Amino acid sequence: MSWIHLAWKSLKNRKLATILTIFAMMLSLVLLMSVERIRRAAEAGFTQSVSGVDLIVGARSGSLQIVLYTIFNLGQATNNVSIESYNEIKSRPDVEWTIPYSLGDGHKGFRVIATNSDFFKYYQFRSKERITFQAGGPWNGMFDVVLGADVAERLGYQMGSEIVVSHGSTTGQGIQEHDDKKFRVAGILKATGTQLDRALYISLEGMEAIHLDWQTGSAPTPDKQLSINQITAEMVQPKNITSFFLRTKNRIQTLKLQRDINEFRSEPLLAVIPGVVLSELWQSLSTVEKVLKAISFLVMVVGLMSMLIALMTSLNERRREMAILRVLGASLKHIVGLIVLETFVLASVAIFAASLIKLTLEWMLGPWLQVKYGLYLQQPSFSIVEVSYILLMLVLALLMSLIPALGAMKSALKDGLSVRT
Amino acid sequence: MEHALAIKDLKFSYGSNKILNIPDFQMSRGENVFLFGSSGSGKSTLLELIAGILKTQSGELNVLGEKLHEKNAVQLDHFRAQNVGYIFQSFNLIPYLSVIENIKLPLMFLKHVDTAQTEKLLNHLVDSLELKKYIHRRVTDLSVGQQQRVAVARALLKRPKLILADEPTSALDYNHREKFLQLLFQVCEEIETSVLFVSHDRTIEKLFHRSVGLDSINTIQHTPEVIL
Repeated sequence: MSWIHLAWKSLKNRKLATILTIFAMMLSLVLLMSVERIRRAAEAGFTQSVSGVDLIVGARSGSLQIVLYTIFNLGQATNNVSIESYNEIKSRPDVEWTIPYSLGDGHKGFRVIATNSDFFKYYQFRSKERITFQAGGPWNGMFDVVLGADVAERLGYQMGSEIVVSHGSTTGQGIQEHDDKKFRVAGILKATGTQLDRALYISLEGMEAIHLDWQTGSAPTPDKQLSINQITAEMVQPKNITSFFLRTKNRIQTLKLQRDINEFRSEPLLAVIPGVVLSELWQSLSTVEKVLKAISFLVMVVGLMSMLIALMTSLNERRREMAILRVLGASLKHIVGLIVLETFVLASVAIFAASLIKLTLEWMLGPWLQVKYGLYLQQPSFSIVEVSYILLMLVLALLMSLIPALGAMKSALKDGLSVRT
Repeated sequence: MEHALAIKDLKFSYGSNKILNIPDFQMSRGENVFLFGSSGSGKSTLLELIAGILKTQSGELNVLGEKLHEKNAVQLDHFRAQNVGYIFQSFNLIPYLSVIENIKLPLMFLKHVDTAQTEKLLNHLVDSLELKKYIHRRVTDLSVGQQQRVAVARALLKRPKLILADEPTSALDYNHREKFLQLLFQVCEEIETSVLFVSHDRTIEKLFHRSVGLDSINTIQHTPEVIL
């Protein structure tokens, strides 16, 4: 019989206390790890909505504002960027590629982004993941639309569905509809777990086309309406965009380019480095995260305390057992070792169970979290943080077990062989 | 002949409370000694000293040729694991282990175990102590007599040269006591083990080679405790 076998049998003998202790330790670990995983997913969804972009350029306002309306559909642009300025910056030799965004319209609570085919070609999120289609592909015609995964799922659209774009509303139900010029679904994107899933994508020309006959921001009267076949390619050349993403050929040029854009002569522009702004913003939102973490740690302490209590209360009834082991040749070291080993078994079982539950929960709730809250649970399932929580739990448990272990040693020393129970 | 136990001027006290002062006492190898004394006369203390649970304070304590008074705690633990079998009055066994697991428990504290030899002895002990039927039972399902036989098997499995028994028969009636002792002596003789048996109950003393009163070897006299 091995020591671990003896420890296991002894724990089994105190079944109820053992199960409750393991349960408390397991719960605390599951909570701690789940909070961490969700926090990681939230942070990733937030800070990794766009990657591989060196600058976001928009009309001069606040740097936070540009990031918020360009990436997160929060707030509005105060002004546009003229197509001339855009083309001038785009054709600089130090610029590798750009993605223009023209914003402002929406569809049933989702925003409509007008862009060009470079969006599908260059846009990256998380670490270098590219946009892929679950159905169809980029637009062919002017009135084709590509849907983000959430849009398609939530509104039940399929390939070929017809969609009416609402004017000027990106968050709620539209008031004025572009119902004379309907769009047809040409492609649906794969879910990304980022803001990309919650938007519709049309071409800049399409955006231009639905506004051609609009004057002073309101819909045309029927007699002034332009029908689709009256529209020529000439007419739908975009004149403005809202903002654009920019990638430099060489990262070293980013700061110089940023300065050049900020000092752009023909119109006031602002270029921001998205990574910096995003992580600043995340920092300011991280209070909630800290509170959650603090609560999780407290739960861990409670789990460990219940372990300590269970071990301490068992000590008195185990004095006879210790005396028997002593007389059979167990040294005081053996007695201490046995209690620490029991704790090790307890903690290991708790850790194993917690990991299993965590994986099961993620497997079961992962898709729901993604659809409902846009939280994409990224790999790996056990990051360095989770592993360090597990190790912390184990080390703390073993350290705490020294208290009952030394207690057992002390009473074994005092009792000798003469415990009468 | 070498002694199983040789005591010279052994003194022991708890603080100012003097318990033992034994000027001279010997026990030969293979001898079965009955040591009687009333409760509180220091019997348990003497057994704990001989088992190496307690450290000697002054005097000489030779057990199986080893000088326990010169050993440290770790050496004493090792000595005990190797050489001494111990049978308690009651509550001898670990309740959550099976009979066989209880019997094999002392092997965990040995550095080297001759597996083949041990297995042979185990079979023999189980047979002669009539435990074969029960070896996989929980010890709590056994009668008191059966439990004491398990304790004997456990004490003997490592072939100790000395068995210390602390009133193991007190829970048995006279007939069972006699039978139990005969069994114990028979098995001990086979593996050449001495027995030091302490009790306050002198009805069984004639079964031993020698009977000694603790009061006759201990110069510190204790007034017998009133048993409530």
